[in-house]
Amino acid sequence: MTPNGQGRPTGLLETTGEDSRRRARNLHLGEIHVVRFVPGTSPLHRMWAGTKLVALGLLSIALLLWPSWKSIGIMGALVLIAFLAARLPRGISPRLPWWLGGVLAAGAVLALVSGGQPDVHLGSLRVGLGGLGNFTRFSMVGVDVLASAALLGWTTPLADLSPALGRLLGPLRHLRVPVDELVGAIALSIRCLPLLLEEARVLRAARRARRPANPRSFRELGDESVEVVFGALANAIRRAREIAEAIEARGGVPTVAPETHPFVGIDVLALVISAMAVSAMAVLR
Amino acid sequence: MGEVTADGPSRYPGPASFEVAVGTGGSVDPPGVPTAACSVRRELRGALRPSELAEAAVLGDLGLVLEVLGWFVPVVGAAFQGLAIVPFAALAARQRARTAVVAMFAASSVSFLVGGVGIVVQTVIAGSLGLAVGTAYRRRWNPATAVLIATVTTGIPVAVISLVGEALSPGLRRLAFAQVEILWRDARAGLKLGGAGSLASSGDETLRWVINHWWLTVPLFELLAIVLAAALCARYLWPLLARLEHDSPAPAEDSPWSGPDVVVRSGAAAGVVAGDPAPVPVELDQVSYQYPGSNAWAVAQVSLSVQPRSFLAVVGPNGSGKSTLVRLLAGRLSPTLGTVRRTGDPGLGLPGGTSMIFQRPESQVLGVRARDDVVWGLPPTPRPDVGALLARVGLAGFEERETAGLSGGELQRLAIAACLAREPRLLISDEATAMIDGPGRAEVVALLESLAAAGITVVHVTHREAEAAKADSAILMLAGRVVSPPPLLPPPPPLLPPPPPLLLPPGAPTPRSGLRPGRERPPAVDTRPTEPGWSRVPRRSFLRVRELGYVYANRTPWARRALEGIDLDLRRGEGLVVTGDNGSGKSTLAWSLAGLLVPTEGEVLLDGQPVVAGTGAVGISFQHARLQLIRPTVLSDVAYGADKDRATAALRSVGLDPVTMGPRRVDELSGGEQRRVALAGLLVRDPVLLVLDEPYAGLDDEARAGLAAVLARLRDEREMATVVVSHDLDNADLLGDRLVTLEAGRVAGEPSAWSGT
Repeated sequence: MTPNGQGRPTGLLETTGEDSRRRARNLHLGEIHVVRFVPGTSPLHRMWAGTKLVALGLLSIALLLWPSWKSIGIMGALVLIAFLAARLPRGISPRLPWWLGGVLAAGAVLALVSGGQPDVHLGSLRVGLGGLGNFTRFSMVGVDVLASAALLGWTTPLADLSPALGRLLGPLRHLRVPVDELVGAIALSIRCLPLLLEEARVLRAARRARRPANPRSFRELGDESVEVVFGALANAIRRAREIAEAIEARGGVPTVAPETHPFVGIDVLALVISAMAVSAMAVLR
Repeated sequence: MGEVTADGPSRYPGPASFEVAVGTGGSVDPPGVPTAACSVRRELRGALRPSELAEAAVLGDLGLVLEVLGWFVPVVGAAFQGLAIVPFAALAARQRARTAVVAMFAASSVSFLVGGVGIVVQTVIAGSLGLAVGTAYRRRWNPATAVLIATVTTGIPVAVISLVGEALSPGLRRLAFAQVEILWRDARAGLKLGGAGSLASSGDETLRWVINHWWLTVPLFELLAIVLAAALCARYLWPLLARLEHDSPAPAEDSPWSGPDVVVRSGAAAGVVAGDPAPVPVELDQVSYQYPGSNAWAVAQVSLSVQPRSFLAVVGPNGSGKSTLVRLLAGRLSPTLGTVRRTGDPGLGLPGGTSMIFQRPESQVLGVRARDDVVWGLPPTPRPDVGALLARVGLAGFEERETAGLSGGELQRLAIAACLAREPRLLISDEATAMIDGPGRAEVVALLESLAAAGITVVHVTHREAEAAKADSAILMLAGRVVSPPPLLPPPPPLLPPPPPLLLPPGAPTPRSGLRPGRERPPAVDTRPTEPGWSRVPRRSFLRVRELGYVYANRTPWARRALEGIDLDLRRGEGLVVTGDNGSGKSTLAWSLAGLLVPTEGEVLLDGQPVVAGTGAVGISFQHARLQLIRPTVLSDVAYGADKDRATAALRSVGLDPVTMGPRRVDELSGGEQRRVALAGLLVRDPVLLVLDEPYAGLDDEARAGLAAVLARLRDEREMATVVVSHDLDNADLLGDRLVTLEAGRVAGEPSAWSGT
């Protein structure tokens, strides 16, 4: 934006506060920012998507089972190493919602006020850090889990995921689980996700454009959100109808290309490291 | 190829019965159970049908999107996540339980990929609650039963799983309780300060008891929470599901070819094995079709014959029965009356059979990558040569491209490549050129021509006469009937009455009618006089765009520049048409003009102030108008944020009768009507600037002329400025006084003489 320049009426300057608030609100209309693939040739990029899924699942579950500082440290170190190994560019971090910082800060203040062992003496003031420590540990578990999921998203093309799941779930065929149907549905979901996200973006824009001038009651807001969801639903059903026709025009049976990605040394290495990390978490607690 | 038989389900291989683990509705009805809600639909067994698969994927995604949005919306985000139950409930109310289970599984897998472990749990719970409520609705059980089912299928498993988890993982349990204790210690301090010391100490005891009896309290708390959620769902979702059943189209009957078509095995088709697809030659004899539940004839007494190696164009306005006719040709529908004669099966989607492409480019591409899409639905062997197929449609080297980033024309050609992978004998395009830009359209039509020359029978539905002229023969449809007999090319008929007078001031050049068949497109850069506000009182520009630039995902590796250095000025009552190919930044410009995007560079000033969305000064309408409508009926939607009188007037001004249209439900309307209602909803706020994104998409000439007349009147009588963004230049001259062409985010051609007034 060009800076508010010379010769403007002063009235404009008064609106700049409103202007910046408006910008904050508009931030997400540009694009709904979910984690996206960054092309690359790093070991993490070359790894089979299934390996990453398994490692991510195992590590996340282990962390939730034994959420000690040591586990957080192990997981954090692995995520950091993988992040560096993936040689990702700057600026890939998703823009976190602006209110998240506020929530975290409020939580930290509450936790600090609540006190708890151990106590620290600052002159005559006694401050219990136990609550804050617990709160930080709790938050760090969340950060670890989200960061590892983001790492998967940054290094794995969406198209690789459904064949990988097909191979991973393959053994369930013996239990008469319709694996092909499930994987076909996942592949179609992945294909449709950008369409739905775009529609969500238009929906929010349309709502904003029609926002009435006078404030609405809580009840009216509730009614409106029901209408919005209903509109989204009606639109999704129309969309599904078109997709169904296209499926029928292709013979009606979903097929997912069989997995051709090789399982190589880097995959074995990743799985071994994950297994070691999980055991360490279990032992160290 | 014995797969195509009259009993459709054999086309869908897969285990015949799959007992669903979650939900009571998983197994098939025992005989004697009261008829299900959507009783027209027979109970299905086995693998998912196309309509079920599509709804599972799309509605599952919708649930997932609501979950993800919940993370980005402060405070009410949790409500969004609660709303994620709705799509799953809608799905279970419309389709059998297996569909909802597959959707839940697919959505939770995708959510793991998007957001990790935490969001998976939410998605599974939302899905399984939705499944319980929706199934109870579909089977006409009462809401209390829904709560009971949800308790059994969701509440108890969640309680048990969390009990096991807590027992296995004392660490997480202690950590979670530590957070509760933090909150309690704060509350206790507050209570003590407030002088309620006794309450504080009894709270201490209670909390200690709760924590010591975690094996009872935690599962019980979760169980209660889920029962409460289920009760809320049953209370509030029931009316919503009823409305959905009433308003939204019923689940499509998947009707693989069956019924009273006649297969003639004559000498002409000697050597055709029974069951082998042989879609052409096909002959329709006095065929009529009525959609179930409708009492109008979509197609009436049509006789037609399509010979091999021909290129047939089907022309006609919206709602004239073109799409129904080609579905009859494709064997997708069976005639209500009359006979369809073929030498073999139509074999829709099968090798050597019939292939179809459709109107919306992005809805028919099913693969995540181009090469996945080409082979989608084909058996694993033999694999076609994907590279050669893509090259044949002009997409050489596109194998690894993700389909989400392709333009409309590229998507349509990709869909044709997928058709060609089946070596079809009959290729049907159902308005495949209606929603793509000029160059894309030309490429698709040229491709269809070359395929017809190569021996594939091509049937192309279009409302553009110029495209029809490329075909060997053309038929014109009006109100379900073929007006001109094939194979004669219709003498250029006066398709429609001339458009209503556009209320242009005297002395203005008469707008070209634009309705003559075969009319040339206007040149890409308008060469007409561009004197400011000709024939009107010249006015100062009130909309000023200076050096506008926009970059999506700015400062990230995915940064994509959409606009650069745009300068524009607009006066009151002036009409501007912005055109350009897919990806030229047209829509971004429209959003910026409406204040929906904050410019990365430069500024958009309306009366000297940065433009702000939602003040009513600027109205914007989108291509998918349904997303703009936020009330159930037409009048209530238009009256949103205004009063009834203004709403009635607004409806009149867009050419809709408030008396007949006002009470109609928005979901019954056609896309064109929805667009008009959305426009009326903008007009009640009395905007000074109206921005319309692709208002012509999918409209026929008559509807276009009507829309153009409405806009002209708004400009003249209410001094509204209009900006129409469209890739479709047919009749674009009726939409405004000036034309701006965008190319790769910049204004192409001469910088307009009128800028900087």
